[in-house]
Amino acid sequence: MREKQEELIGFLEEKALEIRKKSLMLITEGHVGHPGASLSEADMLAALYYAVLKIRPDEPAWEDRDRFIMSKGHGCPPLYVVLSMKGYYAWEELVGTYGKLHSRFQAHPDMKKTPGIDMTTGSLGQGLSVAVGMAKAAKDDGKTHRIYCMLGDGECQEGQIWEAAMFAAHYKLDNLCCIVDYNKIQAKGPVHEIMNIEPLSKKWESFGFDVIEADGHSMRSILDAFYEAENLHYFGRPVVIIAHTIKGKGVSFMENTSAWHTHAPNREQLAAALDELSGEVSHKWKK
Amino acid sequence: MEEMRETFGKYLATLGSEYDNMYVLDADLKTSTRTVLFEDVYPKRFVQCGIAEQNMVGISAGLALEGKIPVICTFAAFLSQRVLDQVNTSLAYPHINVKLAAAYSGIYASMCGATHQSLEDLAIMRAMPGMYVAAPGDNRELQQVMKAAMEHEGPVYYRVNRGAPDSSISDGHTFSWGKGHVLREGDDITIVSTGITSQWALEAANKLSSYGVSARVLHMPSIKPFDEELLIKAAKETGQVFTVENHSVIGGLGGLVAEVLSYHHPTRIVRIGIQDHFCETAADDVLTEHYGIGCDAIVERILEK
Repeated sequence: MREKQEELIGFLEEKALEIRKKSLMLITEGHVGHPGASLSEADMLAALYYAVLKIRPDEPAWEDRDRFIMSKGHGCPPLYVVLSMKGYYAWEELVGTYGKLHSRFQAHPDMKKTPGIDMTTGSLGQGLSVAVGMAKAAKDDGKTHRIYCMLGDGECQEGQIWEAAMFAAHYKLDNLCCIVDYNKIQAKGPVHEIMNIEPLSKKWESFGFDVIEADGHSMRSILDAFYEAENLHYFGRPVVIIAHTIKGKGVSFMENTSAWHTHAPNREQLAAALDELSGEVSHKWKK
Repeated sequence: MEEMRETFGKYLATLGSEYDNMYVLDADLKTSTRTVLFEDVYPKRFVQCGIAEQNMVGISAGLALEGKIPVICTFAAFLSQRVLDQVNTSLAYPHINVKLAAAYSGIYASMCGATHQSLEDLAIMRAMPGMYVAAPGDNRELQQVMKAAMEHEGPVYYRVNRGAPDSSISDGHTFSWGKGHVLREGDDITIVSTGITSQWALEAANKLSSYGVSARVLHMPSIKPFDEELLIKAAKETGQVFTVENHSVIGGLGGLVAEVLSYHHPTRIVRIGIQDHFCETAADDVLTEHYGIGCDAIVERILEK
């Protein structure tokens, strides 16, 4: 059992590395995207899509699938990448069209264009309400699938997030699992300087959520958090995982800075980043 | 005559029996908007969202994505302005099947004044890609609009009035999307109206005949899609066009008519409606008279032109 767990963790870490590398390639090729958030989310997306979500890539609209909403829509490059890795569409199409006219991949997720995207997002604060509506519908219909929703820390400054949180607790939506990518840096600076959101755990708790804190870059911690969240679902309370992460995780010059919140690397920077991440594929991008 | 909001509440319950996937969402105004009449019959499909309209829009999107047909209802002022970004991003852009029922529309906000009046909702909503927009003229037509909204796949915004329209202008026609209706034939001028002002436009046209003016009256309950053909034909046959609306003259029916005719048949257009200012608190009939959208004011404006 323990061996299997170790094996899974190793597998997920490899997937997370691939997501990181491809996300940076995608952002570079398309000249658009948010590298900082892409790198802070990568581990959680690997865990979600390879170990947590019940989905069928060959049947994106499968009725009983778990739903996933990227409420912070700008975090979509690694989501596009992981969906291509899962077979929703080809990586070649993604990297070849992203950032260009007539692409199925917009700068912010468009559910009408991209297979596997459960909701269109982009204007911050809105995705959670939709996830909550889905959770309400699932409860009303006696369905057992779960609804996952990823939020940004800066996004928690939006009032609508707390309207949605109130609703989720009021209707006892224990089929809802939120994940806050708490990388502590938003578009123009540190969250605590722009507009402090602390005490974040207590805020969610006081809104009626079960709160799980996790290290968003430790696959073991991430998996434990998702398993715990799933097991909590008999208690009639929605769950939030506050994942402590590092903006730009894995690329030293992108880490812990708002400079790479929304800024596409050039080819040299991409090569340096890929070198740092693994050193294996970067030669392809050096020309 | 029954208040339009009462007809709205009752017919919601009727539709609830026809559509078992229909939901109604409220933001703590159910006894004012009369959605309570749906709740009485279908409490499990009535979702109280509290005073949190932005979240209510998102909830409706989530429910719709799971196969429900949500009708969300609050005052038009909030449903068009407070939640504008939510309607745009979470409903219109992904073309989600939610119906927006806008209560207390226009200047008739039950003595609540400017904060609760909606003078720009038609302008806002018709500018959104994929949104269908309607303003019914009487209670029977409201029911037809509600039914047509349920039958249309995609977001719909329709106005509901609080008060009781005192005529039955929908006699002899049935609402359908993109269709306007000739309420009265005439050769000298055309009066174009939508929603509850159509009753006064018709009344005004009848009065104008005693002044020797033969006025055609077009009632346009479907704001988007819009019956351009009917309008263009009338402009060609009568010349001068007057628009009448319970809405700002900027961007609403007046703006729409000007857009259509300036391209297809440039015509002199006089826009009767709320001018570029906020309005005050007063009883409905006082507001109608003061802001000049009732029968006598319409007659006066037309005769002075």
